[in-house]
Amino acid sequence: MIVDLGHSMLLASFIVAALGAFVPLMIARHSTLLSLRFAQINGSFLLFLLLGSFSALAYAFMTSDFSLKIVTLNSEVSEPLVYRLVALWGNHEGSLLLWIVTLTLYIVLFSFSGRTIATHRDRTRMLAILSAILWGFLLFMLWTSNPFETLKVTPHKGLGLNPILQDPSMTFHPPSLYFGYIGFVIPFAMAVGFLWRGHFKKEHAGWMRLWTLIPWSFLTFGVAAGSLWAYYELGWGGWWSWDPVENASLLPWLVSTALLHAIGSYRRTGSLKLWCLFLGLLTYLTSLLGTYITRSGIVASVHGFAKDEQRGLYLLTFTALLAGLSFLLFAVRAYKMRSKMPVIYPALSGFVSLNIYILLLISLVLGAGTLYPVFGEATLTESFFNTSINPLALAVLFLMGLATFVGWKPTPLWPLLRKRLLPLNGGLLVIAVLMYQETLEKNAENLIAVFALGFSLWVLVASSIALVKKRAHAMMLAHIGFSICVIGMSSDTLFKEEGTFWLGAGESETFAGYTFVLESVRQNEAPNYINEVAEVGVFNFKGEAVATLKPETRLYGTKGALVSKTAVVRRYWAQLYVVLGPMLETGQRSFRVFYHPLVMLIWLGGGLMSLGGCIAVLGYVRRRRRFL
Amino acid sequence: MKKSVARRLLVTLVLVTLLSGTLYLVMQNFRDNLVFFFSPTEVLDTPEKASKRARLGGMIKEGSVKIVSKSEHRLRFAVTDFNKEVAVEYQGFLPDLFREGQGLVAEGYFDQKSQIFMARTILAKHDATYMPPQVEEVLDRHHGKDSLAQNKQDSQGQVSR
Repeated sequence: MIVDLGHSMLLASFIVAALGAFVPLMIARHSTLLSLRFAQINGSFLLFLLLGSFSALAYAFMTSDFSLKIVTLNSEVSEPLVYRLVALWGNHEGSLLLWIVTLTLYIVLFSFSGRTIATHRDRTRMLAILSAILWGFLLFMLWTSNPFETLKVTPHKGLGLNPILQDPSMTFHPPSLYFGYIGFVIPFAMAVGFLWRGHFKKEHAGWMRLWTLIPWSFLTFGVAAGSLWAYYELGWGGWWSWDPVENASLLPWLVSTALLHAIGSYRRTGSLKLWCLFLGLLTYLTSLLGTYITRSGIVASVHGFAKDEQRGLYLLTFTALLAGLSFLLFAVRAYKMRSKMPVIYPALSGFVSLNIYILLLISLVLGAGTLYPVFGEATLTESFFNTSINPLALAVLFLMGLATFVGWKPTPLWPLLRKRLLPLNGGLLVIAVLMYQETLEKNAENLIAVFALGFSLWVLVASSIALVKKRAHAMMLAHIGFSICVIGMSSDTLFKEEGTFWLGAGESETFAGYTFVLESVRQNEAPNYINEVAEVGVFNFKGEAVATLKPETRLYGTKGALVSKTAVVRRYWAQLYVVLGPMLETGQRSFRVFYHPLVMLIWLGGGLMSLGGCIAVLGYVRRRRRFL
Repeated sequence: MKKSVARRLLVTLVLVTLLSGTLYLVMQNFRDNLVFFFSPTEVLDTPEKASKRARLGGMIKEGSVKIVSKSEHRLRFAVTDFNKEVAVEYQGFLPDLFREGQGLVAEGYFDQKSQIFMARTILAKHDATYMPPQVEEVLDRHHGKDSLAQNKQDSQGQVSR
């Protein structure tokens, strides 16, 4: 009954969204105020319908209503309530509904924003564009992936949620990513709206900045959380593997970061105006491309949804259509709207434009590398990304450091640098010392990491001084976060240690200055899985016990899937990381151990970047109410 | 005016040089990091192609896993596509799903002298029911769908230890 109601609400929203796409534009010919009000009410009504539909689906998952196909395929009565609930977005159809609800939420919030910034007509047009995009997604859902699809026979048992997804991170990682890349639809609609109208003023850019910062903060947090999850869940000992789905989330992050910088430059100097509009379009299009990569399953990935050609084709057509139309509009309007202000090279606007070029180049290499396996026979290894993208990122880092010393007005670079070179010298010293380290393996990846470590220390010091002294707290905090993140990544690359043990009960091995003793391996039973837990005692060089690690392997009955749970413990500035492997013919168990120095800084830095974005958004709430 | 034109020209030139340099390096890098996928039959038919850097996909043959060196954590096993089989040597940690009768993808090179595929990494997959698509294709090519389905069932029976 409740489920049927939810399904009807979903069907109704399809019609309401279609109305929202053109009725406001028709009314606007007579009264722009009326058309805006219609669009606002329409959006709110849509939100009501879709929230209702979402709640009905959540209810079906909570009560394990196995008449629904996706409930049967992704949930099981014996699982804890929280995993039965998050199973809603642990599958393609349900997560698409979450996607659509998030999109509608953004539309409703946006529909009440910008009262004093943009005209009624502009806002109505943007809302109509948003409603059309929403309609496109609803069509996609009802056509190819209806979450309310029922089974002819109701089974007694469900198949359960994919065990890898049975983790607390599942509650917030997917939603925060979705609040990230779905939100970029707002700057897209803004860019189209302003191009349509043929004007884009500095205050419009400020408004666009607010609506880019919100999703950017969520996305930054989501990407960092995803990396942390992969680190402790998948047990391969890394935090980033250039998996297609990881790349799909990084792509819009890079482009939106470029957009934020372009907006900054336009608001202060009037240059890079067209870049703001172009990147506004591109950010959302890359996020759609990411959706296509993830949901069509064209590239084999750990996270991939099942391969489905119809879905892939629809998403590709949808993306191509939006890209074609919006770039056509851009091509027609751009020349007339261009800014007369030049980009000045020895000044911030010049640095920002260089930064944009490099970020776009990185995105290009990343996108091409990710999609290559679709066209070619071969696969690209991780080291392709490490050695192509990391040097470019190094250039970004270097620019970031230099930019701290330069203002918006043309500044002679050398005198300024000479005075403030001290932190850079420190960074260079670190590089020089590391270069002569005998123990370090000499390869391209380590060489890049050495430079990254030196430069990021320099950026950290320079940005911290700038933060204490003066301006742009939010931005400087984000830069500090970025440099801390790079310090974590490069020191882990350089000083990580890795080992394999074969241990029987009572046997021990020494690794990275610690002695590991296998005390016991026990079997336990939980409601929805059975597991084996190894107890590994860790002793320091004095023979004192410092920790007991309990890596485990779980066998989930319903899907017959094995999942290992890593055991991680912090020791001073590093983490010890142990994975339990299979039994060998000698009766021993194999273990994989890692020593990860400073690895926590990666996620700390990611968190700080996101916090910087949040502070900037709060700045709007406090000081610049008129933008809201 | 003239000065600004000259300046713009300079900036553009520098940018174009940097861009083309970077793209050249990326393309070089691209060529060096391409890895092709081989079935055991293909490895034995064209060993020279798989002798640089390759991925090998197939099933781990039942009863073939042997420890070569306990102190070095070195193992040897056979990977088969039910047509031909290749001996694989690997040193290091085995992922959860490394079990006889399971699908596997290993990265390494084929040593033509000893006729052994020296695996550097074993790509871990995280679902017992999941068959890497490339492995599925390899098995299909040599044996038709039925045997694959049969084998899948067998291996599932094995997992519940």
